[in-house]
Amino acid sequence: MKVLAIVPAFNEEEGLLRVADQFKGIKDVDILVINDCSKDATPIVARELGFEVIDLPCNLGIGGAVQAGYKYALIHGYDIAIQVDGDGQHDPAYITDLIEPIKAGRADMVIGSRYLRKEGFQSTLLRRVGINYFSNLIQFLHKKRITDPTSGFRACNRKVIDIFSSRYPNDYPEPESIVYLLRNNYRIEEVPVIMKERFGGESSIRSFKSIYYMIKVTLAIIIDNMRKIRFI
Amino acid sequence: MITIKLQIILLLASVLTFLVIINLIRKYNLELRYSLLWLFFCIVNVLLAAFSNIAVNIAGLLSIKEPVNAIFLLSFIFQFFLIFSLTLTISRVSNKFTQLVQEVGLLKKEVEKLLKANSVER
Repeated sequence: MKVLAIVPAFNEEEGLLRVADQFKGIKDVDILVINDCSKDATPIVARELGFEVIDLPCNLGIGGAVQAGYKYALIHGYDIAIQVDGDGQHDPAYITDLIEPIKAGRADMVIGSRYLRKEGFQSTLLRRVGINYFSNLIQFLHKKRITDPTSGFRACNRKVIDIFSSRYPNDYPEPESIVYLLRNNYRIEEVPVIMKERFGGESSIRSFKSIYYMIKVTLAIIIDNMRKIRFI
Repeated sequence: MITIKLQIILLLASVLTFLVIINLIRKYNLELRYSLLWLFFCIVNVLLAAFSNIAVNIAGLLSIKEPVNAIFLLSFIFQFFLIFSLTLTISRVSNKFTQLVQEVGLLKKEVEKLLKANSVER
């Protein structure tokens, strides 16, 4: 099975060094860095590290960058695509766990969750409250418990790669993309992972934006619920 | 009542706007598709200015004291529509833009690969 790791990177020259370190000893996974128009040496570092690199000519934000990766995966016939953050907080050692349910045909998308075993870096209290709220909202609307809906550490199969290539939310895409997969009756499974605190780079969610984030994602989830089944 | 002076100003302004828009379309500066709404409002404006009893009737219908206030209300609504149509257009354009940027990124990647393969052959 052809497996692609999609690593969105915006000003992550230091983060990529960590990612490269962690990926040592991981075989049979191609690594594709999406350089989202970084202003630092990200594209140079990524090439020196031997990654495949896509340079976007304009900054699209996390959703647009990741979607470019899914399009690449679709064109080049990958069976599984895994999203891995460019800052080193996702340990590729878990990739085997992450793709196992897909290989076994049990799931279309697998999410690496910090909260199944509650080990490792659990994020700040406020964020945990927010994540739990989204988790409850999704459970209320779709009768399915996703413990870590904001996790960016996810693997998906060919069918989902196809869907994500044609439609993927722009900013804060994780919870929204989960609900539209659930709406279309795709199977989502979670596996426990341990995440590290982020090194270098900047989280896409900063404190002063958190209220906007909460409102926007809540609306996205609720409006998605108003769409019809099979309406991607 | 609407004064004759206001009627004339309104009439001149809307006829002038109409002509400017037509001229811009003629010179290919303005896309007809996005100016239709403007042209439509210009015509409505001309009618409102020319026949003051339209404004008077609308004011009476909405219990607005002065017909001129009815004209203000109408122009407010027009502007709302225009701005909303812009937001709609921006959303569509930004979707297309995202797709183009991704496509360019993917193509650059393929070109890079081809160039590399080429230089190895040599």
